[in-house]
Amino acid sequence: MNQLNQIAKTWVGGLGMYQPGKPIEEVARELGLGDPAGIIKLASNENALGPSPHAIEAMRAAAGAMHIYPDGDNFQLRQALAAKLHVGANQVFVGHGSNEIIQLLGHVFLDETTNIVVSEHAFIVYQLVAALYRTPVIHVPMRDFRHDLSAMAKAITPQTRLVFIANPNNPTGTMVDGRELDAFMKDVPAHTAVVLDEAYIELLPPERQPDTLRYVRENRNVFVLRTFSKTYGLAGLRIGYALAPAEGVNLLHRVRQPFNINAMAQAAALAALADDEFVEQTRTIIADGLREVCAALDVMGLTYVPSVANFILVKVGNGRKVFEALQRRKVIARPVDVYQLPEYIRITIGTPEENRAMLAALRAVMAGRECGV
Amino acid sequence: MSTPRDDLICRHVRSLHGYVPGEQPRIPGLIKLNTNENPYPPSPAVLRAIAGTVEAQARLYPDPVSLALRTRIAALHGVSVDQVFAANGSDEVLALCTRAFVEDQGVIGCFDPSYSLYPILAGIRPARVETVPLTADYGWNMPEGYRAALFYLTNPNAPTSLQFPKEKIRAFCAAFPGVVLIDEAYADFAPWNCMDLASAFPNVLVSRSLSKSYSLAGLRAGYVVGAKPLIDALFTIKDSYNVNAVTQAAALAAIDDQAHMKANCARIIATRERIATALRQRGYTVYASATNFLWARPPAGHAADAVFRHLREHKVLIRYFPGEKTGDCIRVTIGTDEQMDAFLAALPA
Ligand SMILES: Cc1ncc(COP(=O)(O)O)c(C=O)c1O
Ligand SMILES: Cc1ncc(COP(=O)(O)O)c(C=O)c1O
Repeated sequence: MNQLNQIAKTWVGGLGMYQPGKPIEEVARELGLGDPAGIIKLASNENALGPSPHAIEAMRAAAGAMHIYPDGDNFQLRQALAAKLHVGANQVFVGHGSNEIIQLLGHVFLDETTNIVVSEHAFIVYQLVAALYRTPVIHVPMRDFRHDLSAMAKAITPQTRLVFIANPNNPTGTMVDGRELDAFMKDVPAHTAVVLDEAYIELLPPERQPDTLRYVRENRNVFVLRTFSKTYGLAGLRIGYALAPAEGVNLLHRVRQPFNINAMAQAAALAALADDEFVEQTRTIIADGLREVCAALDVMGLTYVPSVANFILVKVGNGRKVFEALQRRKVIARPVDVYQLPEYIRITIGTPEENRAMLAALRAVMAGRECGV
Repeated sequence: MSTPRDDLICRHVRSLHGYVPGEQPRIPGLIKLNTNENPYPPSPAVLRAIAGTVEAQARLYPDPVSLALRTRIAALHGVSVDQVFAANGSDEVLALCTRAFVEDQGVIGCFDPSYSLYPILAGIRPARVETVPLTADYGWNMPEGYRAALFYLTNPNAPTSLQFPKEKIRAFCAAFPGVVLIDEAYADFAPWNCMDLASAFPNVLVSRSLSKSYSLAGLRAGYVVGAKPLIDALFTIKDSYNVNAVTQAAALAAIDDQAHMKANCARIIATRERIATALRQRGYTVYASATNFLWARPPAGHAADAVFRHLREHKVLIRYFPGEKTGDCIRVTIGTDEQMDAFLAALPA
């Protein structure tokens, strides 16, 4: 009965799986708690405010039409994104989270004869997707936890098809600015496409967001990725998008499924996109939260990497053990040893109450040395 | 600014064309009988589950392994939870199979005619499609020495609406060296199904869709049942969060309410039989459908594409598949009785 592993493709067994932040229910089970209420999840960089009330309203309104297939063309959402971002509707591709788009990019560009270039502490999904296509990964050291773009440009080989730059980067929370990106784009050869993963970009005030859509309008080899999972509070619905020259968008269309985005997500995203006030509110609560958390970390004498995103990388000694000790105190953070950062944990910024509860737990864990650090 | 460089793109991707879905035009008053949707709403419990999830769960990433939903599906079919994979529509199952079970340059098989997405999915991989032509009455004879890494066996088949004999399917599964994916998107409208074969054979997967019988096409929900090693392989290559939170909750509630689903299917089947009879009276050859659509050949003097165009001009949209094996028939989704009466009234005299 079990010769079946042979039927699966030979290399599938060797693949690593993405380790997502722990769901609240799973932690409740592990802790033997019947009721998950009271557990604070600061593990997956979700929006503490939830989605815009307009998005919730739109989902409620859409619920009555779920027996109909979604618009496989995402027509309305692409039009709305194009109008808002001043690109063509044919330069917008909607994906099942930006995660799916990263995988589709792998499908279009990667095989064992190519390679990708990423930073040493880059978002881990890039290297998991490379493994799916048996593609070697070139890791480039960071400088002060920031992408070293000139070193990344130099690391590009004739086989490099994709360079992934998360900006801001997860898990470091750091970013590179428009001037650095301009210089980098000049150095990228014609046989390489640049993926600018801007999952957290809307958290920055508009004047600090690098104008990367210019590269799309200029028809460069570029894919700019955005998501509704973070600032827009819709991680549960799975919806993100890519902005790219029409040729790039067409390539992604060829390898996707016809109805990859559910109708509820389309309705929610459309409404969320129109609610600028909610985005402003989110920016404020994150900026205030970061300030408060950093001040408390300073008092505790803990080192951290200054962040522009909705999470912060904190040096705690033994990250895995502190993560476990926090979890016993009902706070779910994220260990980052898979990012080669075993001394750190990554903590999402939540509501003021969640931040304070997290800080109290962290204080107790660090003071009590209950994790043997 | 830069000249397009085709050589940068994987060879098999360069020549691809995407899937052509049934049209979704926005014409007021249009009766849509072209995409095999269910005309009736899902269970009221589904609407409650949706309302609860959008408020409380939308901001959080979904359970990456859809545990609660898979546990419910496992109970429904009397299998263990590690024999179940939940998906973003059964289309996702079909797509993942091409990546989990077919090496580069491998062969993917399906019937001709069958679901038009299979060759498209095969094309997305550097793989070859070898179709097995159906006979004039839509049965099959496997060619001598036929081999493939993966075979999509659609039962009931689309667009022909017919089931193949169960014993023939069983014998095929026993003899076939590769993976057999039995696509049962329409099984709830059929008198019998192949779910037992998923546990009987190590190389068989049975996929189901919640788009048709459970009225959830918009949410994208499907699943597949089979031997654990095959299911494990699908988990290994799936997207991190492949089923969204609303769909997980809605699908669970839908499967929980079997009575609602069965009542909707029974209504659709009753309408289907009434319309089949009416079409036969008008001289159409109507196949004995085990699905929520009819496959019918218009009488002499009426070309199928002309019937399709005539109906479209009268605001009734059905599906027409041009081509040698399908161009002589029309496919009509079963809607409400009212919609179907409008369809009959709009047929060319
Ligand atoms: C840099 C980065 N890109 C992409 C994603 C994935 O986002 P999505 O929910 O759109 O798939 C994340 C989520 O953690 C991220 O940190
Ligand atoms: C034979 C067959 N399989 C699968 C599907 C897709 O179903 P889902 O909506 O679950 O992706 C269809 C839809 O038309 C179909 O006809």
